[in-house]
Amino acid sequence: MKYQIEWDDQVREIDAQCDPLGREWKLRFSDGKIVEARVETLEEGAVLRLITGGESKTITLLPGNRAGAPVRFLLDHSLLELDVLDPIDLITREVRSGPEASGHHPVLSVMPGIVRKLLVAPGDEIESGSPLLILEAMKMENEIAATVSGTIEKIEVSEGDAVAAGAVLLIIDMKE
Amino acid sequence: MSKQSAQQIRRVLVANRGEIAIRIFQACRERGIESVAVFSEADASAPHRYAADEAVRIGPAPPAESYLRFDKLIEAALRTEADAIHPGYGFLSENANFARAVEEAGLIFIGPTPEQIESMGDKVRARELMGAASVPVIPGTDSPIDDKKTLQKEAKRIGYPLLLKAAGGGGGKGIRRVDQKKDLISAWERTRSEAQAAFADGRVYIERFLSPSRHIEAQIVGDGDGSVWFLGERECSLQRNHQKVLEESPSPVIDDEVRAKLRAAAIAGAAAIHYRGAGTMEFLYNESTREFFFLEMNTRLQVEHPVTEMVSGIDLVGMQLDIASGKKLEHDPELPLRGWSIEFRICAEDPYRNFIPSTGQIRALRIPHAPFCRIDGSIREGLEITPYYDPMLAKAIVWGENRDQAVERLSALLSRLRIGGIHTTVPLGIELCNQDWFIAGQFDTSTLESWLQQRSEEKLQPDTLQLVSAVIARHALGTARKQTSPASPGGGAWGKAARTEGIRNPLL
Repeated sequence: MKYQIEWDDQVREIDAQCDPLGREWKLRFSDGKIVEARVETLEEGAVLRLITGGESKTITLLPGNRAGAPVRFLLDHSLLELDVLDPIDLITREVRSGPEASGHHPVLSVMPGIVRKLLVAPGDEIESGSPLLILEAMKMENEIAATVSGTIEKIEVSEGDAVAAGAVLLIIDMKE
Repeated sequence: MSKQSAQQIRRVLVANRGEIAIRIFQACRERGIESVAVFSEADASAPHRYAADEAVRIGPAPPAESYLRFDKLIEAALRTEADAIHPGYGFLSENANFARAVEEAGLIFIGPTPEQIESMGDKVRARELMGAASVPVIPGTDSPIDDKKTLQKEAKRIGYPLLLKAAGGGGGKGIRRVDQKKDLISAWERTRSEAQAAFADGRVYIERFLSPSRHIEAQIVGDGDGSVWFLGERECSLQRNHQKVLEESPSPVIDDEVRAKLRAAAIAGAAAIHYRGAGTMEFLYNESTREFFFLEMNTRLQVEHPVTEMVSGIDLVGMQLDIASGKKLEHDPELPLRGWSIEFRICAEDPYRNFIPSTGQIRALRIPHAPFCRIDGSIREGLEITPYYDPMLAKAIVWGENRDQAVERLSALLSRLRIGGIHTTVPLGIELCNQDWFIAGQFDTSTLESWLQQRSEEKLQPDTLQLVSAVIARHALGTARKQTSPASPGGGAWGKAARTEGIRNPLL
């Protein structure tokens, strides 16, 4: 099975083989290095004990891991977060990577919250960094700013609306 | 130490939610006092609703329509024949008008007198009063700022960076740092509207921003007749965005000599106003000059009160109930404090994505059973975390003979605590317990933020072991998900369940 790990602008490919129970591992790096490891599953699958090179390490899998999101875990007591693509991710990605998005830039809510105040109206010219609206979540007011320049094309929410994370707040017609 | 039977409390309504409501119900239960919960529509299935003897629905989800409604709370108390209201922390806990309305309705307000809340809650006046009691205070405006002209004039006089603070605020809410003139007005407007929403009081004043120092606070309890207890200090310097993240008692930098001065200042200040109930004097402490400045007094129970309880063996909520029932105290007794206690706040936030609130369902929960550990919380499996309220879910509190033992104990506790389905700050706590600067007790109010900043900027350069771990972690997560690779059925019980039943591990 080919895995691909990405960070910053680097990519490493690892060819990993394991037995059907995921206990005995053999990982081959692109430079030819081979690592053998044994894995024990503990605590209802949330913790893995990794034994390799005579050392025993604890991998604590953290909640909130979703398909497509970086893999997040504690290796002993340090957090690691890496984009690891498994064979399925690699296929899915090929299918998805189409032409770049058009000039219509949706602004998505990064958090669930309540729209407190709209600071722009359709037709407004905005610069990257311009405040767009105030989103309140868990008692704090957060200013959502534009990451592109252009014209406000459409506003999808009203003041007082509760929005989910990932909801489209408004659409910006990007400048050429 | 006689109880006035006329004031004997039989039933307490707690005008709050979450872990603190549950904490107070328990103190009532221990004293044979009945308890009444209130809940908003969003909290219809929240744990606190079911933790009291009775529960009353008080309105829609937004706090302004439920937990901040005087009329509904008092009506609920009268209807359920409660004779006292405990405000908890946050919400109306430092609202003098509420305390007054409670008393006017013939009920006992478990807390200070309305006048005391007013004078200490008005941060400007509090500084005056403390100054008069010879407690050093931080420079700032003499009155709240109501117009832009005065705002700009005062900001110029005090200088940047400065802090905009809600006069009626507390608990780290309603504070904004302003570094430059151009940000002043928008920050002021934001702070005002936040303060209005959170405390129903939109007044904002300016205080000079002091360079990094320690946030040290003194716990006191007064009986209302001038007798005051000092229950040691708490170290609350580990903050992010003015929100405390981890607190401990004692402080690693306060020695007996400084503690004696803190004690004298706190006792003098509280005794001067005949303070009634539990309160906290907050100070900024400069380690190099060994000076402390009065910041403000919180006229309520604090989130971090358990660390004081752990080292003093004194039930602070119990004392609040006793004092509200008329109990009198001996003035400034020697109270033995023993060992070390640390509290870590577990919040529904993603500590590695700029603390974005994480809402959703708690799909699985594993609370470890461990000695000298206490978890105050309001969580259960299946609970939906909504965006309406404070993100704090629970507090992990430990006690140890000394600081090292307490740190190890906290690390061990957090590493077995699992809250599945949402992001929480638990992994941050585990990481903190393993940082050299934290273990050495060397930090100030800026340390946590700069550490977080630094770690977010660090160039990732994973070594072989880390890459191997990442592949194995990815594989384990893949098998915990629905779609497993046909080529690799995956291991473990969850892998098998995922394949055969199409379910995923709720812990992940």
